[in-house]
Amino acid sequence: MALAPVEFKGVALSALPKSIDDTIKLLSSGAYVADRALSTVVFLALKMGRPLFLEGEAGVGKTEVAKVLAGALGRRLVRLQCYEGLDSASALYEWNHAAQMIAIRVAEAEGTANREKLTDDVFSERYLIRRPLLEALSPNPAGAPVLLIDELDRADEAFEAFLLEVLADFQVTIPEFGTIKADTPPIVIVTSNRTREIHDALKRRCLYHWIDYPDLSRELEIVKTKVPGAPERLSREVVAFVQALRKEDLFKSPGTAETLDWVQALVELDAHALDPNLIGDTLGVVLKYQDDVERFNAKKIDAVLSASREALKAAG
Amino acid sequence: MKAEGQLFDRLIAFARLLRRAGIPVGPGAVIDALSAVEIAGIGMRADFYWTLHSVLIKRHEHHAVFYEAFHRFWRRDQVDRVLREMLPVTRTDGVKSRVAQRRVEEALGLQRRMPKPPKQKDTVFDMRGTISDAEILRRKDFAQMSAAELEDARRLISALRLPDDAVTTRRFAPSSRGRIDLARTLRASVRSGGDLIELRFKARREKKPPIVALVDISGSMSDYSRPLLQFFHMLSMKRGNVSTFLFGTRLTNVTRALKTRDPDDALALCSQGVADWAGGTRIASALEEFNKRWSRRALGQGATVAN
Repeated sequence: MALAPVEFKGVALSALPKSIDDTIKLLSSGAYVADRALSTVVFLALKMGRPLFLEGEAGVGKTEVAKVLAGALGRRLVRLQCYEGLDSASALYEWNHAAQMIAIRVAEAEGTANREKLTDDVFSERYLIRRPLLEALSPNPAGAPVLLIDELDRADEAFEAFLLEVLADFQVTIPEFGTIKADTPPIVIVTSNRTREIHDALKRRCLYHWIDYPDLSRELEIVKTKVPGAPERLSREVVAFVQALRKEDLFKSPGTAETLDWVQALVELDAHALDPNLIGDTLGVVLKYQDDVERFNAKKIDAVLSASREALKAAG
Repeated sequence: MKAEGQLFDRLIAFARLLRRAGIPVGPGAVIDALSAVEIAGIGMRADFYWTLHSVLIKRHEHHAVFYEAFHRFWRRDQVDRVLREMLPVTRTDGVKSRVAQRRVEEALGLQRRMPKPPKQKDTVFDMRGTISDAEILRRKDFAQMSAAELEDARRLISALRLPDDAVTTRRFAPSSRGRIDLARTLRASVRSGGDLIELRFKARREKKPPIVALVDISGSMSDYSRPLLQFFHMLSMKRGNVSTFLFGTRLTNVTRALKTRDPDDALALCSQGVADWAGGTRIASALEEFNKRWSRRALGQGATVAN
């Protein structure tokens, strides 16, 4: 059975990158500063047509990879946000039961109820509600979409098993309708925050990559790309401070997303450099747990600040 | 073609090395690795590294082992063992990489023998009631359990019935009562031609929440820790989804050890992994470590904590 194509007016479709260097350029055209390791994996995933499984702490830019890829390649982004209790009805497809019921009643009232015909009519595409996974497998004139399965660790384990089938063959079977197979498989990106282990069977089908916190120079580059208006000195100090912060004994270390938020917040406050008072007032942007915030008294802030300044000096 | 065949052989050998070092690498992954290398090309060493990494490694904790294995295996010119032993090894510092290094060395057959386990002392100091800063690292041998004792315990434990602690999830399953299941109702009614609409129902599915067990194995509790561990082994066999941590002076995750089907093997694995059997207690630091390192991973999905 074939589904009607999805309407999508996107930007011009770009070709897939040809080399790892191309991939770096592609990602940076979407304002994503990727290291070579990540670019290699992205390149391979695109070339081999395999799902990409990204793991890492919160706020290191896992979801962003999918968004940037969709933007840079001119593809549609189909996002499936996982949550506890996610089932196939909200992930794959659902029949519009109310409309189906009405159709049956109407057929009855008209006295034209022919069982075969009724089945065909009621279980036709008209009554099919497409959810993200089916959407991603539907034919798309603008090229296969980017399918982002976000925070898979939040979904129940039963959902993983279901996903296995979809990711292995890029096809789904709707009992009343038939099997739907993607002409060109979507580009699949799965992310996990690792609040539980994802089953190995699923990981085996994917290329795996752990996104780590960026190092000082790369994080600085990210800040420059994402917050172009930030004063040079401020960005340098903030990045160095956050880097030093990650070495501290924290319940939750700040991610790159927090760094960017912080720089933005400080730019709004017209700050040009970091000082202990300013840090104390705005630390809530970076540290999200009360325990962590409480531990950072003035003395501690001074210590981390001077450590970060020394690291900056060493880096030149 | 010949070069390709050679590369394939090398990849198989590399996969075997990883497998010996404890990383599960299936034959499918080796074939994937070959095609990945063909696609990415062998230009830079770093690219080659990440290409293999993306295909062969599926867990973050395997990274350190892979790092060691890669740098030892893919030398520019292959050298014999003696030379390999003499060459300095590049590595990052830290316990993890030292462990990784040892695992790789063992896998390469470089270490002549595993370090001998410390000899058991004959005299046993009863440390109960005394407080000492020095950690007493002792290994407890579960094999000392008498067979009759073991059998008794196993029988009693398997006869235990757990209180029904199932929680409702947000997923639905067919049921004889509950909400109307429109999808199934409709399918059933179409089957009968639409003349008869017979209602079908669904109800929220129930699930047993995960259990996180923190077991105190310090000296003062040593009489209890053994049967307790047996209990948790039985529990993880019966319902799965049990994470078990042992703590005395340090925290050890024995979840995987307890997944071994045979209780004797499981408990033996536990005692191997634990360095602080029947020593002192540092509850606070053990709990702190649990909170920092494991709580977010283990305590999801409405877990029950037992200690």
